[in-house]
Amino acid sequence: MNKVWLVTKREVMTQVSSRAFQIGSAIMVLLAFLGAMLPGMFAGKEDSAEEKTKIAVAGSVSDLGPVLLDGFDVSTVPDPAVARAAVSDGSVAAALIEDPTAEPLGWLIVAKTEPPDDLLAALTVSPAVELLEPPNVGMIVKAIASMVFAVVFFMIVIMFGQTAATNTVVEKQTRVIEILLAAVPARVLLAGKILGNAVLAFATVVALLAAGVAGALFGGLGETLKNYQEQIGAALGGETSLLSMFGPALAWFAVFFLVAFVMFSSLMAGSAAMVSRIEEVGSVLTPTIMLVMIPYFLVIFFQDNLTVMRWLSYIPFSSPIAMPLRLVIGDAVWWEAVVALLILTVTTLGSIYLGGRIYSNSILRTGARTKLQDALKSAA
Amino acid sequence: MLEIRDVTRSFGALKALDQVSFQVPGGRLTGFVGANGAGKTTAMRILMGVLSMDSGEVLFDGQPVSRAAQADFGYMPEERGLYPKMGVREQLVYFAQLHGLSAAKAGANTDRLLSQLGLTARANDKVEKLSLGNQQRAQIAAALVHDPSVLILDEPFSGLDPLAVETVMGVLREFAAKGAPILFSSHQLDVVERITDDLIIIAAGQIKAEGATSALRERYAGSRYHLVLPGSDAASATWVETVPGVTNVTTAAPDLAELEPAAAVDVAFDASAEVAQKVLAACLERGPVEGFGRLIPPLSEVFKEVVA
Repeated sequence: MNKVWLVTKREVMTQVSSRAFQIGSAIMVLLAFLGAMLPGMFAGKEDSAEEKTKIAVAGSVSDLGPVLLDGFDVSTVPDPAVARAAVSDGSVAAALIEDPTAEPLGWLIVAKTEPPDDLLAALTVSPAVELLEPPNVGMIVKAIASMVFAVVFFMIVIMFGQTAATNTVVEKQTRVIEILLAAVPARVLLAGKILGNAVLAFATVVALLAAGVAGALFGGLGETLKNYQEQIGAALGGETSLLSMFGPALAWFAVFFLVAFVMFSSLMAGSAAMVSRIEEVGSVLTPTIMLVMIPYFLVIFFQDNLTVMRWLSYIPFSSPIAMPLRLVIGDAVWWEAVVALLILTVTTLGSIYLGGRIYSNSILRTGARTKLQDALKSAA
Repeated sequence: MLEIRDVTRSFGALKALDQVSFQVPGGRLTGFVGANGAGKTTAMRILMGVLSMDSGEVLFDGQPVSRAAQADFGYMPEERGLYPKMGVREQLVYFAQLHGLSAAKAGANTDRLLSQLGLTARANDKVEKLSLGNQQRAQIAAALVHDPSVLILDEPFSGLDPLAVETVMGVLREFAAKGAPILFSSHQLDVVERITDDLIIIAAGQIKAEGATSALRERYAGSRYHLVLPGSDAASATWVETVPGVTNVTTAAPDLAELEPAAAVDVAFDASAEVAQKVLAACLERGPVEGFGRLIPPLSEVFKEVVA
């Protein structure tokens, strides 16, 4: 175990101290930050468009005062129904309807998904608001969650799985492998290599998520989310926060990610051991990369189809993305996640065995690519 | 003592080792020579346990060797290999730790070896920045860094300049003095001849000769003698030829550097021990004799004869 740790440490230290890794990671973190920040910034910019916000007024305009009328493109409509229709078809951003029952102004604001900020700002007192199409909170949360889970999972698994594979071939190509194998068994080397890359992959995921959250807060996306959060809170009876929605799913995602990373990277490192030159790595990795890519696309395409998603959330290659996603939207309960995790763990143990066997049988065979049936034979 | 017994290993149709048995005694330097493809590397890999055998066994101190015992062997593979982008010292410490040494001991051993091999100044350079000769020294250090119980070196002298050869020889002798078995292969037979205590000659997967290097050379020495006589007197050679029982007389300039070529002549001849003594006595009657002795063939000649 001590030796596994030594190999792990070397794997981590060599990569962390390499310039390519430092620059690559910095760029990724920056992109995550910008990617989360910019949508918020642009959302804020819409309001400063030069055109005046169009509003429809049903009622006595003079009651509203000159301030409001100056700042907006006001059209007067005969009755509330016409005003609502105008909001509904998008010809105006909002409607002001005279309604003596609406506290405290005696006016009701009608908007589609959210009231225009500048209209709210122009009114000194918060008016009553009626939304014709309240935003579908689940959709937005799901969009964010699928983005985070699927893209992060796909990208990081491919990236660090490939690193584990490449480093395996580098050791074979530079022949340092014979010296290593003279000191420690092949399975120790493989375990250290996978653990090292798992540590790096996990740290990268955490860094990307942190950068994303920071970017979102900085860019104002946080405000938007907070609004949703309040609405969700209202809808569910008060206490729900974004953290409590995402938190458990994120924790599950972390666990699924780690196990699945071990699964994929042991297959990748194992298959990489079959070739002797870096140039040949691509061809042996293709099957495993397909195993990562196909479930990824299935989840992206079928995220709105709950039946397909249910299947995907149990299949070990797609469950790391699909199950947390289902947890976020409240389609799955905790024991389903436990079952999916068990299936994933069993598959991972199988992959470790398979990858380890291919690795041990191929790692000293130099020259031509090892045939798969030879790599799977029991004798080294 | 390390021993390999009745080991056979085939690669497809090729029998790389065929019922190979030999011993590597502790505290001695054992040379392993053979032509390319004779089976040296295969035998060494099997001793190290990085290659499986079809049949036979490897014994260490009389017991079948365990994987744990082999993990303590020091190995320099035929295909040189170090991490090109890792520092020399960092890398050696890592290897020592992989063999189970503490960080402190690993560091101390590394520094001692780097100094012995003249690499201290390059300790923190990446391996890829070193010259080939220095990479080779680092490779030898990698085999020695964990105080191995056995040392197996595949061509440790190839690519080294004469001074580096001396340095490495010194390190190996010092290590042998501690009592561990050392087996090394080499094509540089002059080096092997100077450094080894024992010799194993392999050809086409079979052991052709095994034993103390001096005894092997003695065995192949036959009954050829030589005399070194002063003067450039070709007549003495003609005279030696006339002695009954003497055949195959040749003359040459003596290969002693301090003598001027024209100042002496080296006469070699085949004869029995008694006849040779008679020739010497007769020569001494005729005048001074500067040298006399039985001709021990260089290892390269023994090798040619054994392998043929």
